[in-house]
Amino acid sequence: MKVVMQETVSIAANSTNSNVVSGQKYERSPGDAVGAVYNTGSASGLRASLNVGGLAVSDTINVGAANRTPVVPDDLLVDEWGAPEGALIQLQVENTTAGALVYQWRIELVEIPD
Amino acid sequence: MAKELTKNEKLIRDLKSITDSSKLKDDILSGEKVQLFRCAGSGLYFPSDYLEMWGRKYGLGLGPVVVSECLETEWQAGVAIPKDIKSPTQIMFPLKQGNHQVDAYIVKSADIVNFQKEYQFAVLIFLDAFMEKRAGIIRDKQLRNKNGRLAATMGVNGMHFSSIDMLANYKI
Repeated sequence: MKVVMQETVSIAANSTNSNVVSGQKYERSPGDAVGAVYNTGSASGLRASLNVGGLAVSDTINVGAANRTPVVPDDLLVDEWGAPEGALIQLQVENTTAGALVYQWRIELVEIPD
Repeated sequence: MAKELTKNEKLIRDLKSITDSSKLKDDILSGEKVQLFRCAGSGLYFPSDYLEMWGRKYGLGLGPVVVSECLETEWQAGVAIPKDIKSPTQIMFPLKQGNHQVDAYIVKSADIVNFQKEYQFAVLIFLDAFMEKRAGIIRDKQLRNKNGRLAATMGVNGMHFSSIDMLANYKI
């Protein structure tokens, strides 16, 4: 089964949101799954990194300035990462500019059958 | 119904269009007139080489289609307030890339010098990569917008900033 989370977040100027997924239904993986993150920024200057279960999946990567709801597969950040059951998904976003920006993200988790 | 032109009238019309366009070309080449580009959203002007240098000097990260670099306020998103606030200038509505159409304008060179206010140029991305200038300009506009609620939001913690001057004088 596939589960999806999608949200829009405002990131204040010169600040970091330590986990934009915080408080979401599948903040912790509901089962052993393979995931993918898609994201866009309202303008250039955002940087994102992904940690799953305390392990770094990606280094800090510049987010595209498409200014739209993430389109699959165009706005891919990183895919084919494993999320064991109960592992915390942490998507950290940093705004390097002097202006607040909007970050839109979408995470898809596909459960691995037993 | 429009009057049908005679053969002679059509010839004169075609000839006039050719001479007019060549005059315009001469004016541009001589420097008397200059071609600029204008953002259809904000009304700000871009330099003459905006189209030619797209993707090299201008519009970095904005894709192959030439659009305006100007930023605008994303009113639909909430006011962004950081947890570890260092300055009140961090509090503002988020910005977004407008991606408006750009139109070509041919203006007199002298007018650009004489009427700077009329031909206001946009702050370009390559000169302001971290938005120090652009964020300040747009934040001032947000504060002046009475329906924007930014000034009211700023007053939530017992500090009311009804004007930019008050905000500028405030230090944490």
